[in-house]
Amino acid sequence: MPRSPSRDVVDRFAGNRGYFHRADPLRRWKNLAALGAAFFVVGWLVVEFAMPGRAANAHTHGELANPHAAFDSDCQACHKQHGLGDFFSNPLSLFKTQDRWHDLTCTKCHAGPTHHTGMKGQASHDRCSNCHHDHNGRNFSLVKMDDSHCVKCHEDLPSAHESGSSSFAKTVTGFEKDHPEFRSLKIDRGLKFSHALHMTPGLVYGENDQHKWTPDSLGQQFGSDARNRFRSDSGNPGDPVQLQCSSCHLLDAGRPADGDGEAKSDFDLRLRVIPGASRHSILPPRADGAHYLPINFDVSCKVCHPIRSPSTASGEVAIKEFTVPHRRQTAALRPLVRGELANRLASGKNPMLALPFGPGKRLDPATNPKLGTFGKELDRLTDASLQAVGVACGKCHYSPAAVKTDVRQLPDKTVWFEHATFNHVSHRSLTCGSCHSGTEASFALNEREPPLIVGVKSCQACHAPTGAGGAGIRHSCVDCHRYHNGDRPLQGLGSPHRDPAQPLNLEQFLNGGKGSP
Amino acid sequence: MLLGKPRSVRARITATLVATAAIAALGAGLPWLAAKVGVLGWPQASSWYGLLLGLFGGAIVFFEMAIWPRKQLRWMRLVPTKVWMRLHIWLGLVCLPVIVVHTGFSFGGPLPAFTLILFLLVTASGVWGLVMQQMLPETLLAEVPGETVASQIGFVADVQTGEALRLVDSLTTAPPEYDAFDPRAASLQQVAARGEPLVIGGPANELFRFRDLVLVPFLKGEVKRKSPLRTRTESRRRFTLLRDSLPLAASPVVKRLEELADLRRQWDVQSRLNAWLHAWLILHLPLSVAMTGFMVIHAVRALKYW
Repeated sequence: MPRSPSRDVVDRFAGNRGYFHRADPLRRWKNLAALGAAFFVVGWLVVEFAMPGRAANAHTHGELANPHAAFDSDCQACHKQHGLGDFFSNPLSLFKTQDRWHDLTCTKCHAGPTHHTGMKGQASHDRCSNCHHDHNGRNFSLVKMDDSHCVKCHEDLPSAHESGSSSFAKTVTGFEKDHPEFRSLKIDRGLKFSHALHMTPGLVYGENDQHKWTPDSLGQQFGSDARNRFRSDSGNPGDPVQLQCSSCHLLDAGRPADGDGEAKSDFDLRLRVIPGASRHSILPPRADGAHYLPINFDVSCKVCHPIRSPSTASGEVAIKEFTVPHRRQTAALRPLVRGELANRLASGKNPMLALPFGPGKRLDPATNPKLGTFGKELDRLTDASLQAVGVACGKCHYSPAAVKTDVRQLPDKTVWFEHATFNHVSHRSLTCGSCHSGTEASFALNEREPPLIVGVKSCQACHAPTGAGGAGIRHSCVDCHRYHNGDRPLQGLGSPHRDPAQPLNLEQFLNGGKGSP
Repeated sequence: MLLGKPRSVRARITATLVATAAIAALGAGLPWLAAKVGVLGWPQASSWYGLLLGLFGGAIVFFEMAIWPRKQLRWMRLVPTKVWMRLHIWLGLVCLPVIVVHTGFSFGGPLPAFTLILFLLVTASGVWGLVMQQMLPETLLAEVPGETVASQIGFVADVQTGEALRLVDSLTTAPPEYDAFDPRAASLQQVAARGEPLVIGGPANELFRFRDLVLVPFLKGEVKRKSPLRTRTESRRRFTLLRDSLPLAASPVVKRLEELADLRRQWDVQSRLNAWLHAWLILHLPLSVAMTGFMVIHAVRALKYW
């Protein structure tokens, strides 16, 4: 009987029927590799429990920004844990991952003052991580936010307020699109001052004015300080005086370096105009230069425009002119002027005081009619002096209708961008006239100048996308504005509103605030 | 077949790749498009639907891993293997866009990124395996008609080598009495009838040299690449020369020797195809184990802090 082919096949396995009970190499390698993988996972679990800090590095989305670098390996420094207790108390809390992600403890170290009161959805605004996105690398800025964060409300600001209205621009969606004009431009400066006149060589009123101011003539009129301060580059005392912007506007009045003799001399000249002032009491430490120092009459103007009570006479008594202080309204100035006049009027030669005193040496007008005359004379002189001083004030200031010798208050505007930050140092490569038109004699000599800022267009020339007519230089909202007002010039990072509720000691800080009260 | 009714190999492979691409593109592309046009927010793992997708993807992964115990416990006959395997394949493909959308189209931190890379490798190796499983069985059927148990090729080759040695001995030694129940009874009967060695002298020496230097090393698999029997043409030429140098009565034995060499050649092909057919599992399985473990660690950590 012929053998079937399958019998041949079967006979090959004679004595080896149980081969399928033994692992073949493929299966053996497969199982070994799977076991190795399982060990790898278990090894990682050991790391998770034994070295949670090191393990945390593996879970993070990315490195924390530099200020938070100490917490890279410590999730709990900022994140609140979601434990089994939370789950069992509310199983649905498992799905509130967004809440958990935003459930941070930033206020241990920071306080973020409210942007504006009365906003809708304040709870959302209170969540730091809605805007500040960390885990984006060491050099990532936590305050350089995308415009969309701001536009969310500012594209329709009234509806973002509970009241339904807002005193600010209703729609702003981008600096280059619909940013309103600077509000500062609408403010009355309240000062008669002509940059054009002061920037003209010799400070002349046109070509026909023969009186050119020179360092020499300034010195004759106002003293050697004026001569020295406004000396020309050539050193010729007959050259016309040419003021520069920096003659009055200083970014930094900090004390010059010892080796800088010229700057030091200039510094001392400025300082000398404030009698009794010490360097350190008047001038702050070297400023960062973001803003120009306020123009101070005593420092910038007085050397050429001293306020003086004019020379006068009372009978045979001559009264020489004397300096009166700046920043005094009539009511405050009157006793000062009257006292100084009385002092001078009461000199030994005044015949009104020549009679002996009455019994008991009482200075009694009732028994000494000439003293009453003295008082009346003093009043007359005081009124005349104040009138003259008032005229001097009126050279720069406007008077209110009520008291002609008073001056109208100036807007308190050392900083004109109160809701934005602007750094002059960053823009020092530009001429002043690039942004402050009129400082280059484009105004009439005696024209009452508006605030000399060209407007938002001058900023947009650079700070706008190239396609929108700009130069592509950064133009985000946060390049000028801060939500928490931290960089606002009149509030600043140093504001106590930004202090944490409880400062941490060094150990607590590096520990992410754990264990702090 | 796993992908449905049997069609051509090319059609099945195309279907596998197109299905993978379509599921991935549609599953991940639609949420991406929805986010772009503003219907949905940008997918985030920490959003409610991001978390749901994560949980869904995790459940799929656990089901995929359950194929391992399912194989170990096949005696329990839980669900038909074919159904289970189809679910394994299709859910595995669906899992790809689910997880990709869950990640928000980003890698995240080192461990989530590592887990995602493992997941992508697992999926890729699975698709690769699926393609191999569609293509190679038919190739095996066509090229290896004498297929044997792949893991036992070494053992069977030893058996074949023994047979070859005995066959050569039968030609060069005096035949013994034959056993009528011996499987080789027919040929032995012829040999026994001779009463003396069939091949002697120079041809015998030639036969021994062929046996020791060419045939046995090839049958044992010691010289796969260098052996002249490696190719069918050269093998046929060698055996023809051998047959011509031997008496006509030795032809059946030479024919059997050629069959043994032919079988060995087929098994070499089978070994190679079998490696392609199953070796991807050496990657797929451990990667799956590691990915599942790290997925669990990632999920616990994420749910704790995120």
